[in-house]
Amino acid sequence: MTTRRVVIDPVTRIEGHAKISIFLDEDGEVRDAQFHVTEFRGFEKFCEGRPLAEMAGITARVCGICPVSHILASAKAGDDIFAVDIPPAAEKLRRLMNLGQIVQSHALSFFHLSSPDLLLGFDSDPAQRNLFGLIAQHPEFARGGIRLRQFGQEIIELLGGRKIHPAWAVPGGVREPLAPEKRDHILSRVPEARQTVLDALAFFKRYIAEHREEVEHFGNFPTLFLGLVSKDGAQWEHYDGYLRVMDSEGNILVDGHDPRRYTEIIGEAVEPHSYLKSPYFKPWGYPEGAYRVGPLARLNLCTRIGTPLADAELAEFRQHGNARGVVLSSFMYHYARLIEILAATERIELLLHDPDILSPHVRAGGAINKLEGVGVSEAPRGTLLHHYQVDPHGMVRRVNLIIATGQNNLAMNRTVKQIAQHWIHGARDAKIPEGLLNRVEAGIRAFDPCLSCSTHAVGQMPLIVRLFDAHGQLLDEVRRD
Amino acid sequence: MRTAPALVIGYGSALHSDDAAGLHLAERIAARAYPNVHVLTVTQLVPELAEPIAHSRLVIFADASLHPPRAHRPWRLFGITRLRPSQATWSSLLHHGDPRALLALAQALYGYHPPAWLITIPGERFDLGESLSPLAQQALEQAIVFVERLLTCGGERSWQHHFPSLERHSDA
Repeated sequence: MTTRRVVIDPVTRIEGHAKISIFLDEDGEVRDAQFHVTEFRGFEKFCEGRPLAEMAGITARVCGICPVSHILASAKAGDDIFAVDIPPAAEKLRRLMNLGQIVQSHALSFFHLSSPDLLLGFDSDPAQRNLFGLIAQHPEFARGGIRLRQFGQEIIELLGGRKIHPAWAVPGGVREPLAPEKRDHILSRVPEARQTVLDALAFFKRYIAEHREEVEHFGNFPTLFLGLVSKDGAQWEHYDGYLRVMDSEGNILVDGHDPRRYTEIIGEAVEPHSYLKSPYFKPWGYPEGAYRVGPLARLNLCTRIGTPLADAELAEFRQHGNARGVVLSSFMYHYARLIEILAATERIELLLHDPDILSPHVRAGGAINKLEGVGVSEAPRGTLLHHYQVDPHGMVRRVNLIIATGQNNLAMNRTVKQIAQHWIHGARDAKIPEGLLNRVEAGIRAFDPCLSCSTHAVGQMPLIVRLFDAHGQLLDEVRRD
Repeated sequence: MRTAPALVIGYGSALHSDDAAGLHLAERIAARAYPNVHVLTVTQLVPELAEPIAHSRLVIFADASLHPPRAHRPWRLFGITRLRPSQATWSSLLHHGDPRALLALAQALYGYHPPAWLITIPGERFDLGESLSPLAQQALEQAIVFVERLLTCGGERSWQHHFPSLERHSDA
């Protein structure tokens, strides 16, 4: 069958580009879609030959949005190689920093990037459908989101220092204990943060009641879900625990799986059209083993969150799921993000009242006791795995990173396809339908993919949609600078 | 009353060779410890930077650039651009912003944006690496001298007083 092709192409000047290709058949109906991302290209090789002690700092510098996730996964891989149990205070401080990371990253995704779609409408003028349009029409909502993000960022900075990529978490623990005045400052900001997210939750619940079309057609399909759950009772987890895999019917396929044995359940496919690896659930093969990670997966996988406000929201969230309470629409990633921010504010408060949190004992001594280690954490976008092999002197010989955006790659393709199928029909006039670009962008935003791990020197990032005929001739192009 | 500080924001990826040129500039300025000058090094520009920007008397952004030095003025390797606020440069798909959008955000949220300049340092290599190319290194040294002049000229005198002469150097 011959196909025509629609290309949506945010072009950077260097290698950090993402591109969406939508393939049409001869009748102008959508046959397939691919979301191409470039990131982590050659990075694993770049790390080889480095001292293990440098890995947390190096890997953290890959990304300006979720450096903490890499710091923690790297430090935990180091813990594994040192074969040490870190002090209780160190684990709690690492958890605190990761919660700050979840708050700031989710706040950026929901308030700054996605709220304009929701509050101003998918069909509103793109020139106004952005953060500035939001500020003009909903200034308190916008300011609240910015302050919420500041709250999360402040936790990270109070723990790790002003430098954005602190090698604060190290194999064996963390470098610095928490000072009492910093604890008190963070505690003083919790109530405002919590109220902001409660207000946003109330808004979002009203929104989905009135916008069923988006919920039904933005990546609403069965897949597997993968993520961490706690070792005690499979509760919501963001730092440690076991891997769990669930199908769309709520059946637990893998439970209590040690992340160090991740290769038994996760395979990594490489597609010729993308540099990004596409991990899949190995027992089901590729691409049938496509799974989703991140907030939606975490809320589907856990038995409960473990804090009262978030658990009440989780119960309501699951009413939007199937008979087993599994929520399948990728649009609900937004909802899940807000519940996770709420959970984070509760967990932060609990941690700061924990008697261990001010302990000066935050780092265990260690040395190279194993030649291989795996570290895992839940990054805001999903499960992150760092796998290192070292020589007896602690020099890194091999690195494998499995990142969230890659794990959601197959689901993002299917989301783009579903949106395009719903909004493109019989594109025989060789025109790109009005509003398609907005919705495809919004569908991708639901996953909050991290496209920022590449270079970004000065320049514009235009968004280009191209329509090709069956012979590869360009029929139409829409460009947004 | 204390004068608002000048703010230098160097941004880029520390792992992509010349993309780190803006970071290097900011770190070199920070090492000088000028009074009432704040320095930030960030991987990317994010919305909360609007707040320190709005509370500054001057902002200097420093970034790498793919554009080679201008052929008509071979004596200056780096670029200088006087920035105006622009809401149109905000991306809703990516996690990082544009300096003009941050100025607009400072204005929208806090009612003020200071005078701002973008210093761009041309790069040749943007692959994974931690050192600068000879071109970027040379341009960096020139740019540091210029930024120091911006930060120190006039002392207590109004910074805006010096804009007319500097304005003529802008590439845009």
